[in-house]
Amino acid sequence: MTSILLEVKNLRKEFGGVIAVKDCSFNVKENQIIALIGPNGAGKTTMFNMITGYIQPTKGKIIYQEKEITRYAPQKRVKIGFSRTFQQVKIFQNMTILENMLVAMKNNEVPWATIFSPQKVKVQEEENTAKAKELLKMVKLEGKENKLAKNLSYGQQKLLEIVRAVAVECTLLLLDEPAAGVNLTMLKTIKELLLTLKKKGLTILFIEHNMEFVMDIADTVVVMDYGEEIAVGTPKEIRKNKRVIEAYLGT
Amino acid sequence: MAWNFLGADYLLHLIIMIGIYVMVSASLNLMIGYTGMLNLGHVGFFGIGAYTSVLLTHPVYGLGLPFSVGLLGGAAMALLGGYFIGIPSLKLRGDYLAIATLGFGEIMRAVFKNWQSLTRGPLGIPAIPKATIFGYTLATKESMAMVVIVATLICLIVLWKIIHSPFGRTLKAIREDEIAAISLGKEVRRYKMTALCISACIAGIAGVFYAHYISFIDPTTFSFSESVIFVCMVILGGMGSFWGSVLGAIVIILLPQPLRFLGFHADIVGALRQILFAAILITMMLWKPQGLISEETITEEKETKEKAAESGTA
Repeated sequence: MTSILLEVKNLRKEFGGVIAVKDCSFNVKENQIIALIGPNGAGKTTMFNMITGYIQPTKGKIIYQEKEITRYAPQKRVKIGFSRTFQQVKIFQNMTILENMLVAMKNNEVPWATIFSPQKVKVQEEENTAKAKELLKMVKLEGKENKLAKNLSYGQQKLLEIVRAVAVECTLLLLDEPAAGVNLTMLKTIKELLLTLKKKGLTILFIEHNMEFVMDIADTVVVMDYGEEIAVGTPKEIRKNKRVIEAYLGT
Repeated sequence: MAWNFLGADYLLHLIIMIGIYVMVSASLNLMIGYTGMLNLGHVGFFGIGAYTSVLLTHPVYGLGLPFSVGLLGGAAMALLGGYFIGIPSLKLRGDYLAIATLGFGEIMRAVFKNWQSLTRGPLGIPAIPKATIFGYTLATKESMAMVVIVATLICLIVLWKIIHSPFGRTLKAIREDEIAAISLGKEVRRYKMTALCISACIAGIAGVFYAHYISFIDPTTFSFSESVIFVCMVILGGMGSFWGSVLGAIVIILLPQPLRFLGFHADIVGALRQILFAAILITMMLWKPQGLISEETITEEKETKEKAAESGTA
């Protein structure tokens, strides 16, 4: 029996008169891969942004490791183990790939660090660089460390964003459409990466439209439609669920 | 006659002015180029540094304290100024921040002009004492130039270290994508505030040297057009390029110099200078918006060098 890492309780978000998310509740168990699916406009990204702290819910609670974190700022959530990516790729375009990775990693970040303790910073930097290279290897971006991120293809940028999110030492990884706009080979790379991360003990929550991808790697699937959660279950159960077929999967 | 113009005194004057403006330009680059905060009121910090130091050290209109106290006081006050302007304005981004900082610069000028009991207002403060260092008065241009060069180098080294530290890298990340930086757990406002304070402090130091070198300051010295010249230096040199901002300051100081020798009336020279700066800015924007030394060429050079090294070893 695995314990519950994240609990979403009656979460609701109203934008004026529009109810984007309507009293949704679900649990994320430790060391699982959970997919959040549903048609466009179902409120998945709104849900995601509430969990990561980018928008405040109108009502409801978010509980993480038995602590209520509903009002935590995004940065504070990162400190307790969250890490996320975005639907639109958000990488640091005019920085190298290695720099992109190093920003995500911990080092002494006071301005005068390199003046008063250059050796310590350097050692940590080397350690981080080695770790970054290892992560980049997992998504086949090795050897491109000193390229500017903007010179990567869209798919590679997406991969970079995911490994950068992993580089933040996190417990819960949240990915907003990791497979969108990515070719088949890269899709396989992402799948392998997520499964490896799961083996390493991470919990992963992601939004995705690619059903094959979802069915392949998710342990639990949460389906949303019109702001409501219409089904929760294993991929097998979801595939057979009548409401889900009607709303989303089609026949 | 011509020898007098091109003599040692004149060259030393240029060196001192370049040193002062390199400090300003490099510090402004930390904000504009590296953190992506457009600051149109940098002259405010320059002015705070100048006025504070003068009021601390002037034997007649101030407290008559030693220069070292003035230097520290000027730097500290400029830093504080940065902190206080940062509290309300760092919530703003892009153009809005630019307008807020512009407002700050103008407010400072208004303060210098209207707080007459302290600053003598539009009359300005004349006969500012020469800088002294370790009890030695920098009466000659040679000694002043030496000290300014050393101060400039120290400021440049500090900025270089800051920019090439994990902190500096995060500043760049914030410039590139603030939301992504937040998603990596960075307290963006704290970083911006620190960058602003460092930048303000160095501009304040430059202001101190300026005041004690020119030996006269009045509110018109710290007008908006001066801020524009500062921004010009950064853009001309190349935003986010360390040596670019240094080169930008040098070019902006040297370029209008020939105007002096063309025999125009002094009033016209001032106006021509402004026209020249405007022309430079427009030309740069059209032909080379990334500046004389762009950030990218540096990175690419590094890359090609590494590639060459790789193929060399292979």
